[in-house]
Formats: sequence, structure tokens, C-alpha cells
Amino acid sequence: MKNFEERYTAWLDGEMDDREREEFEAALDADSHQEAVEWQRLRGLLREAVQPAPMPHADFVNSQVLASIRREFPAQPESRPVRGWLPVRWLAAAGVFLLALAAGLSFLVLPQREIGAPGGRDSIALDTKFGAVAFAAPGGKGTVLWVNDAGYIPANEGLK
Amino acid sequence: MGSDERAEEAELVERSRRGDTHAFDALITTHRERVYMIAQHILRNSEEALDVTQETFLRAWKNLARFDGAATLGSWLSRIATNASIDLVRRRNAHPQTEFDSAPMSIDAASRTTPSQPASPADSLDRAEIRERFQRALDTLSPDHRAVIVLKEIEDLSYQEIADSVGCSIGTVMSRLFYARKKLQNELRDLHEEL
Repeated sequence: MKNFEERYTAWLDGEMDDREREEFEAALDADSHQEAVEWQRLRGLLREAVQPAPMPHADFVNSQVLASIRREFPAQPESRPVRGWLPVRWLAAAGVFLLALAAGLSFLVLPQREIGAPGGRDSIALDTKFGAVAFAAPGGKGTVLWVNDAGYIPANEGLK
Repeated sequence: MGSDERAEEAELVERSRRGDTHAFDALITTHRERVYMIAQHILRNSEEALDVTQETFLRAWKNLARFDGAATLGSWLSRIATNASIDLVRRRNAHPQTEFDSAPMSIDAASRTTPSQPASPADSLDRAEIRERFQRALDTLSPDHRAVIVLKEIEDLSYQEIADSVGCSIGTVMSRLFYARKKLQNELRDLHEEL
């Protein structure tokens, strides 16, 4: 602290040690003491009066900055993705694969030789409220009955 | 900021350096309010303060490689925001609709502060009036002087932090504080006498 301005500032902000402060105050005139008192009061008012309004649209700042970064630095390496989206994509792929596998197996295990005319299929009208399609395996070893629009088969509509 | 938070922030900075925008997004969220406040205090305009806030983080992203961690990230961002705000005020002052007094101040260091205008009648001033008076008084300061007042009196930074933010020596910070306070006292003398 070389000059008066720096010493006065340090004194006003309480940045002097005891010995420095005593020496400085001894050399300070009454007007400067009074100004210091006035400033302390103004400082309190200043802090109270000059509080800015809260930041509007805070999240907008993030999105704008990140958009600018992506625009100005398109070669940026892909950032670490948020957890969660990758497993969903894997699950979707696995689902598609399993559906394809099931469809393929159904053709292998259940050849489409229908009841009735060779190569055809029979629609059996069990009730006007619902319908069914029967698929028979070769040699009559198994039959699949596909019932549409029926939560259950009424007892009086038992299959024969 | 505790040591855990510092370590977490250092990790985010490192990830940001490697191009992780999600990490940088978290840093923006942590520091945006303070950066905005500094800009708003210096600029006194919320829209410009928002622009400077965005510019600050964009500059930070571009210069992350230069951030060596000697100062805190908050101080480093304060420095960028302060410089960007002062630059904007200077550009604004270059136009006719200048808002600030760009003339160099000539205040005798030993002068007794005197009222800049006669004290008004001792009407009681409400908070809005007081706020308006302070804002007008701050408007009379040069950008450099306003910056040190904002950083010291409102942001409560140390001399060293202000010096880091403004990019000058501690002695210059103290000298600017001295003259800025004198100027404010001159401008607000009648207000002080009324209260």
C-alpha cells in the first residue's frame, strides 16, 4: 500500500492490521472520518437498493449456449449420452428380433395345411359374435384354433 | 464451495474440455445466475445482461484449454463476464446515445465530498426512489469504476478476486475503489442527508 488512496481503501474495508490502522487513523482528519461513516451507511443502502431482478428464462441460456457450441463446433465429439435412452433402443431391437424369430418358427412348426380342402383353410362360424380359424399340422397330430374377438368360449358353444 | 464440490467441478471441467456438452451444461447451470448478476450490475440492462451471460459461457467453452485452475472457475467466469460487460459498455459509449460519463474523472484524492446538487426538500423517499437514485449514481461511473464497485460492494469479492476479474493489479483495484466511492458519495450526498 503505497499511496493515500490505497491506504484509505484498505482502512475503509478493514484490511489493515491493528498497528497500520492506528497509525492511519492518527493521521486522518475529522472530515475523512466523517466521510467514512457516511460511506458505511451508503454501502448498506447500495447493497439493499441495487439488487437485480432474478435471471429470466434461466434454462434458455443453457439451450442457447449449447446450440451455439453445436453450431460453431460441429465436429465436437458426441457427448456422453444421458443414461436411459440406450437400453430402450436395445430393448426395441431385441423386441423386433424376437417377433421375427417367432414368425419364422411358426411357419416351420405349423405348416399351413388347413382343415377341409387341401391348401385351404376353414372359417368356422361358432357364433355371430366371434369367428375362428383352425390350422392343422401334417398328419393330424396337432390343431391350432385361432379365435377372434372372444374373451372366452361360452359353454353352449363347445367345440366338437 | 467444499472440497467435494470443487472436485466435482474439476471433473465437469475436464469432461467439458473433452467435448462433453452435458458436463458443460451442468457448469452453466451452476454459474449462470452469478454471471448474469455481474453483467446486469455493470450493464444495467437485462437483455444485454442475458446476451453477455451467453457470450461469457461461449467464450469459456472456447478457452477451456487455457483455464489452468489457478483461480476458481467462478472467478474465471466473473473475469470473462466483467470484461465482456465493460467491452459492451464501451461499444455503447462509442455511439451518440451514450449512457455513461466517459470523461475521465478529476477528483482530488484529498477533496471533501460535496453535494452535486442542492439537497432536495426532506421528503421521505420510498424504496423505489432510493433505488432510482443509486442506479443514476452508478450510471455516472466509468465502466472500470462501476465494475470494481459492483464486484466489491455487491458481489463481495476480495481485492485479489477483483484484480483477477478485471485484469489489473490489486493497487489499481484499490485506487479505483477509492475514486468510485468518492464519486458515488458526491452523487448521493443529498440522499444521505435526507435519510
